[in-house]
Amino acid sequence: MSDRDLRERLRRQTGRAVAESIGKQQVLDRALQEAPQPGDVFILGDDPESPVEWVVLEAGPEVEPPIAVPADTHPMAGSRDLALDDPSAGPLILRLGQATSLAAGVFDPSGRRGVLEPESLALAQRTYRQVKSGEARGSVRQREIDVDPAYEDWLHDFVEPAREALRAAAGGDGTRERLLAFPERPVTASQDPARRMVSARWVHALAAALVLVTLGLSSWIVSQQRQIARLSRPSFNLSISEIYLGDVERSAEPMFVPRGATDLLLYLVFDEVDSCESYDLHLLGRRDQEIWGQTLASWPADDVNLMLPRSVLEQGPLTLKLYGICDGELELLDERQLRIQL
Amino acid sequence: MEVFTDYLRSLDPRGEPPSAETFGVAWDALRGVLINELKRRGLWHLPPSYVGIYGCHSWQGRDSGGFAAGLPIRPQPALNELITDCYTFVFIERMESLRAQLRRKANIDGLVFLSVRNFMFERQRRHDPLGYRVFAALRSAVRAAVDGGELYVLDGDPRIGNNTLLAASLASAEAGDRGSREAALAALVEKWSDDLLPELVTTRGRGHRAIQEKLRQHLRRLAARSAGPFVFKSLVDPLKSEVRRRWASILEHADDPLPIGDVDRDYSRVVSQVWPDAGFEARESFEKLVDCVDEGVERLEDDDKTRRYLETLWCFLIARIADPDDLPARPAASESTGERARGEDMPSRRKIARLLRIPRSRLPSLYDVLGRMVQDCRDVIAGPPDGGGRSGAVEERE
Repeated sequence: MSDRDLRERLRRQTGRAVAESIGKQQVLDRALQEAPQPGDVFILGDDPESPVEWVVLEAGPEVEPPIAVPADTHPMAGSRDLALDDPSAGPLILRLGQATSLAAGVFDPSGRRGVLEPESLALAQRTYRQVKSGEARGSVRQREIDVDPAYEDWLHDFVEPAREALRAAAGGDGTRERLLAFPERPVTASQDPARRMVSARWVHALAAALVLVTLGLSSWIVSQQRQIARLSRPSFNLSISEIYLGDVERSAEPMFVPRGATDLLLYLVFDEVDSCESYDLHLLGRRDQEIWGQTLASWPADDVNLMLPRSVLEQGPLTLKLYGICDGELELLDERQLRIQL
Repeated sequence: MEVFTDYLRSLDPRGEPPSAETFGVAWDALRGVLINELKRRGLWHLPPSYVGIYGCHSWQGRDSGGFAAGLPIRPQPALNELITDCYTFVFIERMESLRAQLRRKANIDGLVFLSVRNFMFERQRRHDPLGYRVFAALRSAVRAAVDGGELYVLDGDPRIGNNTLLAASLASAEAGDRGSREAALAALVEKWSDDLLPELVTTRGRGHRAIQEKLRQHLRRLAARSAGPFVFKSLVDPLKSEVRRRWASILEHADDPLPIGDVDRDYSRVVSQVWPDAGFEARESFEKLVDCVDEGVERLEDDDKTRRYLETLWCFLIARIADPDDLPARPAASESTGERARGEDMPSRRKIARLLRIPRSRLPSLYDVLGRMVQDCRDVIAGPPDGGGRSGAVEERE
C-alpha cells in the first residue's frame, strides 16, 4: 500500500471513528441516568491538561458513596492497575490502587462519556477486590513497572493531582469523600529482611571457617604453593588438559604428561557448575594435605588456569575439591582424583 | 493556534472523512511533534528499528514539501509509517475520549501532545528494551544520588531527563572544553558495564536494587573525581552504546570459531516459538506470552536454583528477541540443513552458559521447560472454545 493510499485509509477510518463515537454518545444520552452506575466512565473537572478519566466501580443503594477509580491511557500498568481494551469505552488503564470514594453529586451527568462492557466491569471489580485485599501480586513485568521512575512520575504528575483536585472540589461542597487506603504489596520470603540477615550470617560464618582452614597450612604446603604459583612464568614445555568441574564423566579420561613436560596446565572449566555466591577450590595431596587453594568471589566467566609443576605431580595422587557457598549453604560441588599418567 | 483542537472540531458528525487539506494540516502538525519527540529522546540519529519501524536505515529522506500544500508525499517511509501508527493511536483509537474531552474543554492540544508522548514512550520501551533498561536503571540511581546529596541538579528537569545538568557540588565550575570533558566521561562510563552485565539485562524485579546500588557506587566515584558539570545524556548514551555493543557480541564468532556442534539449536527452537512476527503473535500477544511464561516460571514447583536459571534464561531470550539490533534467527530457514550461514546467527551454548552463569549441561532441560511453557501459554492465549483465558490480576489490552 502506498503512502497516499495509507492516508486515504486513515481519512476514512477517522470518519468512521467520529460516526461511531457520536452513535455511542447518542445511545448514552438516551439512557442518561442522574445517578452514577457501575461501569460509567466520566470526565470530571475542566483541567485542559488532565488526561484522567473516572470509572465507577461500585454504586447503588448498598454502596454509598460510590467508589470510582482514575483511568488513563499511559501505557504502563503496575501491579495495582488493570489494562483494558473495552469494546465500548476503548483502551484504558484503571489505577485501582487509587480508588476513591466520592459522593454521587460529584459525577456530573454531562461528563459521562461511556460505559464499560459487563465483562470488563466484572473483571475490574474482581481485580479491585484483589488489590484492596492485598492479594493482587501482578506479573513480573508489572512489579518491575511499580518501581519504574517513569511510572512513578506519571502517577505523581497526573493521577494523584486529579484525585486531589477532585477531593478539593468535592470538599468545597461539603461532600462526603474519603480516600481508600490499600495495603502495600506483601513482602515475599526472599524480600524478608529478617531472612536475609540469617542467610548473611551463615555466609559470614562459613567464610570465616574457610579462612581458618587456609591459615592452617603447613610450611611444606606453602612451599608447594610457591611452586604452583609460577603460572605467570613463561613455560615452553607444557602438557595441557581441561577439567569440566561439575561433570565427572566428561573429564574421566586420564591426563597424559609426556616425559619431557615440566608442567601440567589444567583449564578448570566452570560451565557445568551451578551459580553460587562464592567458590573454594582445593588441591589435596597425600593424606588430604592441602597443596593449593583459592577462593573465587563469583562464578568465573573464564576458565581458571592451574599450573602444576612436575614435582607436585610426582608426589602421588592428587584430589581436586570444589566447594560452593550456594544460597547460604556450603556445598561440595565436585570431588575427583586427578588421573595423571606420567 | 490550536491545530489539533481545531482539527477535531472540524470533523463531520455524519462520519464523512476529513478533507485532504484538513487532514494534511493535522498530518503535518503531527509530523512536527513526532520529529521533536524523536530528537528529544535522542532517537533522531538512530535507526527507526529502535521504535519498531523496520526496513529503513534512517529517518532522513528527501523533503519535497508539505502534504497540505498538495505537493508529492515526502519520501520518508520510516517517518510516514511512524506518523500513521501514531495517528491511529492518538486519534482513531481514542476518538471517543478526545471528543468527550472536547465537549468539556476549550483546548485539548495539550492532551494530544501528551498522547503522542505516551505513544513514543511505549514504542521506545517495547522496541529498545536494552536502551530502556539502561535509561531507567541509571535514572533511578541518579535520582537516589541526588536525594542522597551525592549529586546536585544545576539545571533542567529535577526528576532527571536527558538534558538535566548534574554536578558533584553546587559550586562545580566548567573546566576544559565540553567536548573533551564528555569524551573523558564516556570513556569512564563505558567501563561501568563490566560489573553491570549480564544482570542489568537478565535481572527482573527483585534484583533491580542491587543494580541500582552498583550504579550508585559508580556515581559516587564519578562525583569524587569532581569532573565538573555534565548532562545526564552524556552518562546514559555511552552506557547504552556499550551495553548494546557487548550484548550484540554474543553472536559474534569472528575471534571464536564456532563448531557447528556448539551452535545452540535449542535457543533457536525456543526463539522461533516466541518470535512475535512468526504469524501467531502480534506484538501485544507477545507481551501476554511474556507475562504468562513469567507467571509459569514463578509458580514452578522446582528448587530455587532451577527457577532462577529459568528466569535468567527467559529474560535473556526475550531481551534478544526484542532487540532491534540483533533480530534472532528466523524460523523460516530449514531446520534440517544446519548450514553455517544460519548457525552464525545463533550464539554458542558455551557463550550463553558463560554469560548467564548457567551450567551448560542444564541448558537443554531449561530450554525444554521454557519451550513447553511457551507452547502451553500460546494455547491459553489462543483461547479455548469457552473463551476462558489466563488468570492473574491484569487482563492485557488487545
